[in-house]
Amino acid sequence: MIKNSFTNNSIKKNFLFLLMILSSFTVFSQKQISGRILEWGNKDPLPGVNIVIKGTYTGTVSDMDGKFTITASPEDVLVFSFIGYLTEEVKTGSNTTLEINLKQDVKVLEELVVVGYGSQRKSDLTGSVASVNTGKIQSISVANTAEAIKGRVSGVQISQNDAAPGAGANIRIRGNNSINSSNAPLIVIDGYTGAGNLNAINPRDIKSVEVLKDASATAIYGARGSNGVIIITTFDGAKNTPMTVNYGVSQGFKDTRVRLELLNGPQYMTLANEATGSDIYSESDIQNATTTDWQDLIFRQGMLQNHQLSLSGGSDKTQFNISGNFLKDDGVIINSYFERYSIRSRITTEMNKYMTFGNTLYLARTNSNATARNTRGYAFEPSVTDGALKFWPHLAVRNDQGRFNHMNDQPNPYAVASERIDRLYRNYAYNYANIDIKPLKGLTLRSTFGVTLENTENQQYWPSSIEPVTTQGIANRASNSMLQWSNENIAILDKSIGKHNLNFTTAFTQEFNRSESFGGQAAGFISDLLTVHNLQGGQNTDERLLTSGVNEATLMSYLGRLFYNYDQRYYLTASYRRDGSSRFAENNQWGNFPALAAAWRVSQESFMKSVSAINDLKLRASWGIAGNLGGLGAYESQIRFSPSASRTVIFDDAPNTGMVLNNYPNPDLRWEKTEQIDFGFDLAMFNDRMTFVFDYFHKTTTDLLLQVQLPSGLEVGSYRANVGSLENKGIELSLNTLNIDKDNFNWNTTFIFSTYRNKVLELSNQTSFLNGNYSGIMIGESSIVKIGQPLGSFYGYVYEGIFEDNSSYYTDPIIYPYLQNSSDREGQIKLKDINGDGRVDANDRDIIGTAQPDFTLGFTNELKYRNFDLTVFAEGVMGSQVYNIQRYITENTNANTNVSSRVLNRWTPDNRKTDIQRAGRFISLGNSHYIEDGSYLKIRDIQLGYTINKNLTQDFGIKNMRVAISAQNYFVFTNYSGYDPEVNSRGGSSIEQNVDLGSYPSFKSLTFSVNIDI
Amino acid sequence: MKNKFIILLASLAIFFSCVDLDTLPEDSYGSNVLQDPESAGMVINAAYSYLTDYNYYGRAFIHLNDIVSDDSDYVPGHSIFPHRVELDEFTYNPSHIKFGEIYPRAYRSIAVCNRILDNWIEGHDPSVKGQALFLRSLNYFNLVRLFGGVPLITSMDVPVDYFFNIERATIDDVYAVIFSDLETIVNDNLLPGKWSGANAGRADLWAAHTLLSKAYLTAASEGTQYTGDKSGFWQKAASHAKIVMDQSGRRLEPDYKTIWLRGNLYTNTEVIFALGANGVNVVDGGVPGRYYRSYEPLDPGFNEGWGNNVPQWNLYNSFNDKDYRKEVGFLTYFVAKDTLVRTTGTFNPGDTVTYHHWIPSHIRRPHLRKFYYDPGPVSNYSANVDGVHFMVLRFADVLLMFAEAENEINGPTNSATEAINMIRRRAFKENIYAAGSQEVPAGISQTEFRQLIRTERRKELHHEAQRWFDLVRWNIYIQTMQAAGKTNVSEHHRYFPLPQVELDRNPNLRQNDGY
Repeated sequence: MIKNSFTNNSIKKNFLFLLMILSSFTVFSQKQISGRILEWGNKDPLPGVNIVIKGTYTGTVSDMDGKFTITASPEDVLVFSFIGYLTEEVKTGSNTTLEINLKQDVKVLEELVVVGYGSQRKSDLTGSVASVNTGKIQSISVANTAEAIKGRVSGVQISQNDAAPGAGANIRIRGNNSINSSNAPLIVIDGYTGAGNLNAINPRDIKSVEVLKDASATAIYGARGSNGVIIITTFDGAKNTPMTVNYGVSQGFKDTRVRLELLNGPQYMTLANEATGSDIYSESDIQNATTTDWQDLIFRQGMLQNHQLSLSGGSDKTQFNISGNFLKDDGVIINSYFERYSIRSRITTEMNKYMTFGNTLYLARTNSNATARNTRGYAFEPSVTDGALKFWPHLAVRNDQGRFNHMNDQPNPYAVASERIDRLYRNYAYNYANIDIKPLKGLTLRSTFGVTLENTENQQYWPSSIEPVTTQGIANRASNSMLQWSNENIAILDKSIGKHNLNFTTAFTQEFNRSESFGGQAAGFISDLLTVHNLQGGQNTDERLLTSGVNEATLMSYLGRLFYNYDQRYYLTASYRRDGSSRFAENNQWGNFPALAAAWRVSQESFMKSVSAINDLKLRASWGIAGNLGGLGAYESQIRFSPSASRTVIFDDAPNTGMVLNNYPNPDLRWEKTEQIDFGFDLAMFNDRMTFVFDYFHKTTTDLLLQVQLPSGLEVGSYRANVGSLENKGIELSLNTLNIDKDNFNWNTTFIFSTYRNKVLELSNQTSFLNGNYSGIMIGESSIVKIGQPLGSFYGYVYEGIFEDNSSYYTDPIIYPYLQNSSDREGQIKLKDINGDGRVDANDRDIIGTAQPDFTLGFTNELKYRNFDLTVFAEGVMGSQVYNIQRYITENTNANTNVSSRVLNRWTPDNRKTDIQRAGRFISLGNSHYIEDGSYLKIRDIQLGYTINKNLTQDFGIKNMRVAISAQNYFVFTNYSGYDPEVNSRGGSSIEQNVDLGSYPSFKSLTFSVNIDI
Repeated sequence: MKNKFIILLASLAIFFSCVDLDTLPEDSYGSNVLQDPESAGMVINAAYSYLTDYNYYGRAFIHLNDIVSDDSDYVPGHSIFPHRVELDEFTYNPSHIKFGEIYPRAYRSIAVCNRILDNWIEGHDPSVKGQALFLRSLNYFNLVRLFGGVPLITSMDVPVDYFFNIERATIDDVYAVIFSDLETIVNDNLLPGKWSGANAGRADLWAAHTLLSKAYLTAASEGTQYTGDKSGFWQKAASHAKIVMDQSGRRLEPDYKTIWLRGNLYTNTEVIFALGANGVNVVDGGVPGRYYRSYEPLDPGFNEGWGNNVPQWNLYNSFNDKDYRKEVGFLTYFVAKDTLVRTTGTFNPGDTVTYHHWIPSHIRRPHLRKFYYDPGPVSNYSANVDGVHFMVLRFADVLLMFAEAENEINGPTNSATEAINMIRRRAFKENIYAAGSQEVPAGISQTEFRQLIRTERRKELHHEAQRWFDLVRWNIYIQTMQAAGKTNVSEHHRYFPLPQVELDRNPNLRQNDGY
């Protein structure tokens, strides 16, 4: 057997050498055969293919152009083999020239899947692991990685906080496991756990994404595994390939998808007169009023630009992949943008036959400007979108003096969007080096060392033009610098004894993380010119503010794992990890995380051989325990005191700061713990043309970190302890079919479906607690966490309609204390007396909806016809609800601010049957009227690509060229009345999900892209 | 070859030295801060701070006393607060928020003191220990008078379970801690006789003596359910008061109204212990020293007066018209916007007054004003009175306590009647130190003098968080309140119920009888 180890440079020499050997076996009938080996379908030349005369050791290798020459006799059979391709056998016969088309081996079950601390063949998996491969990520015109996974993997729910450029996404694997701690999965990039900033990663560097879902897959990550793990594998150079230069460019155009209908100037002024019962605006005022469309002023056409240049290649010993990327994403609100510059270099080299060294260096810089907040100094700060919806329509942008008009205590949204600065700069770098040593066959020792440096700087400036926030300028800077390093030492033993195959992995790992923050504020500048760069120029001494802080945390772990299978029929996985963290309290410094899994590959049994339709069937079961340390502050388990301005006492007329206990130390404080069982099966039929994966899971999270209400006796009213529990159970399935598989035409469909049910089982010494009270919005608490109910439950009164007239006053036994005047109730909101005590008060609030969907689905169709390719990707969420607080705000009738045009349908003596209350200053309480169906189906992407024929481009030195056009979010089906039912104004909170407080609106976009390989 | 690998691996492991799992906070202090003499002074500030909180002496504690006593009624101001009506009408239950707010704050202040006392060692500043002992006993004194026997926590070196399971102590046990803490201060001379400069306003030695006198006086009184041996308590009350009268250098402020004059706190000759306020700095979300706003008539133009704590008629009418305390104590004219609208003559039930704003007729009563007597021009009003200090202990109280205790031991002796006379002379703007027109009549009986002291106490100290406690300890609370028209009042109202949340969190707490 000739080893497939020819370098490009040595092919000729080897060829001569081979010829010499071959010529020693002089057989008269032999002739020289030459030919070319091409890839089936796209006719790309395949270099490095092994060509062997069957039954001999005689052979050769194809060259860079896929060409080969071999001497053989007519009865010889030539065997063409190449890793990743199906082996082809051709009888020489009388041919002297051959064209061989090798077909890619699409046997998905043989694909290697990256799991924690190693990889496995897909057919050997015992846990629930889903993969998204290269092509899918590359073909999507996305600005971030989360978007690329969205709707592609069952059991993974990804929701954008809003559609602002660079906005974070919430990734949830199999539901929310925690109430107060992070629910975000662990991100691992090429084995490195310290690079977990998805927004800073360039999605075009990603080769594949693996999502670890069940405990047998995640427990190997111990105290960080319970929210699932996302493993990202980036591109590497290929062995023995010449350098390829790839350049990709895309240009997108984005527009708001929905605009909300509002009252115009005259309509608003009429409402104001009606609401106050006086003539604030005269008849002529109203007639002469103009209308400013504030939405039109703050929205624009956004643009997305992406340039990617990558160089890759490799010799026998050394491979490299270097890429540079520039992304500029201009949002649909003026002045909002996100930019990312990144450089990545990956080099691996074989030092000798025992040792391989690899290094990845990633450098990125992101710049962004948010136009999110409209006001300053409130605990809850409304967005500019909210401002644009509420701002008086009859006001012009500027007044007679050229200053921006403002509305009572609220600034002009156009002024905020156009002049306020809220920039975030991020420098992000990591370097990850590994050395692999293979001292014995089957034994790999790997040591890694990774360092991440991240600096963020937030610069905010409110210029003097934005009244009433300031007339003198307010500048804020806040910076954070983070250093993280980690070291892992892993040993992997791979051994087969007869039919017993085993793989044993053990590791010792450690991690260190330190971050320091610093912030300053100044106000009162003589000019806006210097913005945040001259804090010392701020003259208002009482508004000067300095803050600083530091956090340091460490983690040390031991782990071991055994993969065992007998004859690839019976599988067993056992793993154990022990994590010690500085965050854990003294009594629980170390946590143990075991997992077990078993699988039975039924299709390998002899009795299944006769069922030819089924080529693979595997039953899986797993159990394990993983943890979540994301909610623990670095020093939370320790007793801490610090000076507090709110604990001041006056001596001699001056404030004296008191030193107080920050938190009551809990010596038992530890990770939240999730125990999960999973049953599933993988089915492949018709020679892998149909694959089906099914999973049922049941997770119970205990030891939830909650505030325990303390009896009096301490300085604090509550302390944190591991007390609560909740569960998630659900079903996931994914179906992949290759509907048509012809040389010129193929069609592939992926369908995913997931559903889960979340339930709070236990809280601290309470049965429920409320949340979501937004200062400035008189809605009351809008969310509740209650035993027996899912997280994301909405809370409020139950809406019963509008009192049509006053007649019920005389008969109604119920008292409505919230009514302005109970006898003049007509046109006011009627709320339900839930507890039946004859009085509608705060005790009549209850759960009025849930953000939890019935199910989510994703549907992808990929078609290839000759040079054309088409992808249609749809994603949907069914049965979820949204608390549309934005509508609550824009349907009030007090005329303090502008409102929705639906208020034209308000109650009047002539329009009694309506759901909008009459004009007036009434108390409006949060109620079920504003809970809306949040179901949607979005055709997220329709992409049409065309690969230009090589013979047209080759003359220009272009190996491959593809052009594509993509339409995103052009078709959205929903009943939701706001901008987008996919809304999380409260970020990643698991308690306040699907709350719409006027977010950055979503958009549709059209993207053109060109991809060139040289 | 193999050996080389092992060496290489070993060297890698050494190169990456192990991380340390015991990280210590660098941006906050550990418990060693309590052992540091300088920072302990900062820790004790927090114990004071809880007292000035608007849920405690900052506001709630004062108004609670007014409304459940015959000093004041609650009347709805801008809006009706049901929980205040419940206090006024004695229909409150254990879930009521007002005493539910005082209770935890008193304990938080105690917790700070306990931490300091746990860590104080010989050689540290004795005044830190002294202040901690003083503040702890003041808080327990308030708790035992508000709620009866409460959980007695005197150290923080206990596991958290202790707080979830602690039982109530007896009233005697609580007093034992109060006596012992305060006696430690005076016996060991832990506190200075006077604080000056930036420390002006901290508790001094005379504050400890005064509080000790008050604690003995209260325990000795028949209405206090102290079951132990009370012999000698009146004597101790009298002698500690006498020490203050003779040695403290404090005396009656010549002018009754200047006691609460803003800015006068640190030159005031009468102050024994007061909580300062400057109207600017915020404590726990509220500005201390705005308690006076509830007394101000309801009027948007009157510096945000809330007008919901209105003195009872019988208090106003108990004053002689010549009593200067009547003029200082009550507002009988009304300021609307920038116009001064003065009513003429005295104020009687049924009088009509020209108000410039809608005000329900039942608020047409004199309003309390002793805490904001001299606001100056309306334009400077806010700057002149906002943030007024609250007198927790003052010299007039010491005189009254001395007279009361002396009368119980020896009857109306000269020293006892002289103490009352001094207060009366000031009230009638006479020379405090020479006989005047309102002298206690010679030959007064012990019983008559006891009654006279009680009346004088009310006139002098009304609305200063004293009246309710006085009525209870004199054992005349129920009859007095019923006479004042509060017919719902009954025996169990001598104490507030323990807050319901405390019972919910600690199953071993027993509720007061009657709730």
